[in-house]
Formats: sequence, C-alpha cells, structure tokens
Amino acid sequence: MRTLRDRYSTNEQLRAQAAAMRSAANGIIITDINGIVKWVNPAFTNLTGYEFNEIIGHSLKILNSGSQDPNFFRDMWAKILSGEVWQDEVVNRRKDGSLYTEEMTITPIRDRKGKISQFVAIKHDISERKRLEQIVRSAHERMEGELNVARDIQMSMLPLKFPAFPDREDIDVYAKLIAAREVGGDFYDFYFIDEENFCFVIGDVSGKGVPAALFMAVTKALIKASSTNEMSTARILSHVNNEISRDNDNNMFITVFIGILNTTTGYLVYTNAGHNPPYILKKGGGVVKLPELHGLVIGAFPGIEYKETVIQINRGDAVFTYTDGVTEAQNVEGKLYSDNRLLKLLEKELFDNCKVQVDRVLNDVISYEDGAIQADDITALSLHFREQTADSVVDYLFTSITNDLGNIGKLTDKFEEFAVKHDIPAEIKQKINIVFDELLSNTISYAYPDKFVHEIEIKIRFYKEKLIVTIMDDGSPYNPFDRTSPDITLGFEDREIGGLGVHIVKLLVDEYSYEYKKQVKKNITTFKKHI
Amino acid sequence: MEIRVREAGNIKILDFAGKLDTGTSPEAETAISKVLESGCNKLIINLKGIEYVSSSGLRVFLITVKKLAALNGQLKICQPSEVVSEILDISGFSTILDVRDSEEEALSAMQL
Repeated sequence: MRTLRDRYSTNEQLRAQAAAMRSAANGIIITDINGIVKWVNPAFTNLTGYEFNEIIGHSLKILNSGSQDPNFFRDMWAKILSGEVWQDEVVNRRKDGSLYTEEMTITPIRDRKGKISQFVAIKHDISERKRLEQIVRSAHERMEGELNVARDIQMSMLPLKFPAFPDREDIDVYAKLIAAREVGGDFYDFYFIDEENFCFVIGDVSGKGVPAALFMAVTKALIKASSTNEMSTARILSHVNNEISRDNDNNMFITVFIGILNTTTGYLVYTNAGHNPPYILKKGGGVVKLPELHGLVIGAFPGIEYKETVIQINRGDAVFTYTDGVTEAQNVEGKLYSDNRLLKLLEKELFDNCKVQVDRVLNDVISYEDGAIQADDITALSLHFREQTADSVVDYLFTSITNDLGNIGKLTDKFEEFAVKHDIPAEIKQKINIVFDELLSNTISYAYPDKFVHEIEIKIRFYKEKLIVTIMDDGSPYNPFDRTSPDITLGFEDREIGGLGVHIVKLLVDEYSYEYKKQVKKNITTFKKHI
Repeated sequence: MEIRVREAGNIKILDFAGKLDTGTSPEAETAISKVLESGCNKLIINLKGIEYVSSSGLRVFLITVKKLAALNGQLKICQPSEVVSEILDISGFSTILDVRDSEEEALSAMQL
C-alpha cells in the first residue's frame, strides 16, 4: 500500500509551499548566510514598502531604525549562526521613513552537509497590538493615579504626627496604617475632647477603592463632630449610625471601636460596633480582651441604640486596637495570621511604649505574609495611660450638689475629708472652702430664675503641687469674675457686701477662669490653687 | 457651728466655733440679735474656734457693727486664725472692725 506522502510528489509539494509563502499574511524573507536578501513575499512589500526588486541583493540593514541597542543585533547573529531560532520584537523603519514594530522569527537553514547556508525570517506586524497595549497601559496608569489620590485622601485624614501630644505626660498614643495596594477603608483617629477626656477610634469600611475612602472620610468626620460634647460612646455611635445609614445607597458599612478615657479617673467607656476586640495590656504583664459587642456595624440599619461598657484602667496600662487586616493577613499558603497568634505575641513581650508595640505587631504580620499579596489595609493603634507624672492627677473628688444653700456644707464636709486624706495644709483647705462658699452661694442665690431643682457639678483634681477645681452649673450665663470689686476703704456705714465674695475669691486663688459652653448650656468656672 | 455666750460684767463674750459661712451665718446672726435684744451693747466675738469666715460671715459682722453704732455700743473681734485675719485684711474689714489678738486685749480696749 502506498502512503499519502508517496502520492504527493516532491514537485507538487514545493509548488504548494511556494504559493503558500507568497500569499502568507506575514512578511517572509530568505537571505544568505550574510543576510543578503534572496527572496521576499508580497506581504513583505506591504509591510515595509520595499518592492521585490528594490530589496533583492541588499542587506536587511536597510530597515534598521536605529532604535535598537547595537548589542541587540550582535546577540541575534550569535544565536542564528549557532543554529538556533531567534525571535524578538524589533522596531524597524519603512521605506517612507515611518516606524513600526514587528515580531520577527529567524530560522537558520542548513545545506546538505549540515552547514548553515540560508535564513528564513518571518515578520509579523504588531504595531496595532502595541498601540492597544499603550492605551490599556495609560488607562491603567490613570486609574492607579486615581487610586493614589484616594489613598492620599485616606492618609491625609489620619493623624500622622508623633508624638501626638508632646506636652501631655499622662497619655501616649501611636498608630500606623499600612495601605493595601488597592485602597482599603481602614482609619483611625484620636483627640482630646477636653482637658481630661481622650477619645480614640479605629474602624474598617467594607469594600475598597475610592468609594471606601470617601465613606471612611465621612464617617470619621461625623464621629469627631458628634464627640465634641459627648462622653457617651453609645450615644456617639447611635447618632453617627443614624446619619450614615439614612442615605446609604451603596449599602456600605463600617466596623468601629470607639473609646473615651478619662485621664483623671482612669474610666474607659467604649462601644464596639462589629469591630475586632481590643486588648488591655496590663502594667507588668497580662492581657485582657475586651470581648463585648455593643451593636451592629455602622451604616447597616438606622435607629440602632448602641450600648457601652465602662471599665477602670490603671496608670501604666495600655490599650491595643487593630483592624482585621492584622488577624486576617494571609501567608503564601493562604493561612490566616489569626487572633491567637496576635494574642500570643501580645502576651509574650511586655509593653514598652506605643510605637514599639505597634511596630512589633505590624512587623510580625508583614513577616508572616512573607511576600504574599497584602489584600487589606493593616492598622494598629495603641494607647498608653502613663504612670504618675508631675502632670497627672494624684486623686480626685467628683461630686455634685443641688441648688440649696444648705448643700454647700455637704460639699465642704466632703472636701474636708479629701483634704485630710491627702495632708492638704489646713490653710489651703480653709481657703478653698471659702471659695466654694462664695461661688456656690452666688450661683444658688442668683443663677436660677425658676423654682426647679438644678444640679451643680464640682470636680476637684489634686495634683502633686496644685488643686484644680471646676464648677459646672446650668444656670443663666454669668461670669462671676466680671464683677468689679467693692470699695473696701469705705466706712462701715457705706459698706456693701455685694461683690465682696468674688473679690475674696480672686485674692485667695492663684488662677481663675470662666467660660460659658453654649453646646451644653453650662457655666464652667475653674480655679487653681498651688499647694 | 457652735456658739457659747459668756458674760464679763456688762460685756457679753460670744465664742464662735466651726465655720462662719453661708450655711451658718443665719445662726450667728440670730444669736447676736438675741444678745443685743437682752439690752447688751458691748460685745466681744471670740473667733478662736473658727476655721474660716466667708463673705456671709463678714456680712454678719457688718450688720452687728451697724446695729451697735445705733445703740451707741461697741464690738470687738478677737483671736482670729491666720486665714481669718487674711480674709479680714483683703476684704478691708480690718479697717472697720476692732480686731484684737487676745480676749484680754479686747476686754481692756472696751471703753467702759
């Protein structure tokens, strides 16, 4: 039986191949061993503009655009002369001078003795592909640019200056956000609401990119605005949630942990809305998880009443908060970093300071990922309630009385006890009690036009060398220190008592101030007495 | 506060103890009125046991001075603590009150 090949005569085969080469869409060139052109097909002419007769007997160097490195062709020659097939992209020049990019494959052809005698080059015009690639690349760059803008928005909204409160010895804070390649929605914030209350927030917006960054910006601003006069984290988040979820067409949501630390009392009030549980790092060792959840993530449903927890932390204790970018970081095998690994790390090393703590955790996460792609923002924030300093309160007495003159004695009795407990000199104690009597009798007698019961708050803070007292009442706005002192040189017949009390106060204390807080409708009177 | 009344001839001596402030000055005022109503117009207030005096207490002194002036009488204050002396000074009351360090001094200063 004859094979197909036998039937297909060599002559016929050569003719068919020649026809195929002539009509091929790719330019085909046959050269001798020196690169002198012996044959080209019509597609070559279409590609380069050179007619058959113009190119035959010439070197292909005629196409050289000068765009390639001189080594480029040297390497090419080395390869094809060694008998290997060479392929690469080349920028060439057409007869009319225009440039184009082609993909060229050169195959060495050996003669009967096995010596390389000719080359066949096949050229494929890839200018169009190159142009499309360029369009895609620039579109991508533009998008990257926008993502960078979003990331810049995200980062510019975060406090990045550390130490954040160089003149506060009682509070140290440090935070770091490592943004994922695509912008995520992590954020943190911290600030003093007033002299003594320190607010800190950490959160994570669902989703990524520009929408997440904008959503984060809005949430962060709302939380700050809502906490200017509010010490209840539950009320802050309930309010923020209502605002956010009302027009939340994108159905985005955000997990938030917010805490407010009273730097006088050590009371920490916090609300956790679907966020990872923070840890208290006890002074001297020991880690306590704050496991409570006080409500759903922010933005999901309006009308949620969030709850809050209050604990007292000691000086020297620290708080560590983080986002799920920490615990859900993946290594190359796709395994999670995990809560457990975080807890073990926190337990292993004693708290040193906030920066060291945050860096320790984040470095551990990065080394765990070990080159795996970071899928989400990684954020950690640590707060340190520092030990006794000249700046910190030794003890405090926060109390209140209602507006009855008979109650002033209850306050002075309490202060008496407090003064004895701390060996405050009798003279200081008596003078402060006089000041209480003067200021409170004024307030109780004149500040309330109605007949209702009003509460007057008194906060006494005892530092190593001073006492600072703040009195807050919701009476009519009135600055007691505005009153001019009475003439104390008059004879007894013309003497008046009005104004004398405030005159005495001004001379008994070392500093005094008054402000009316409109937002809460309160008179705030403060005085300081050195010991 | 605690108030005790003693007599030295036609002079009445009131011993004040405790605080003389908004809460206690009505009590002090009442006690002084009673003494004046009994016909006495020579009064010594001994502040030995007084911790401090606020402007409400000063008001009581002022009222007493005025009443006694009308009665042609005299008021002496004695034995104020350091803080009370300071209050009397900064309020200018030491210029309108006759303040003495000891009770003996106050007694001997009383014009019979």
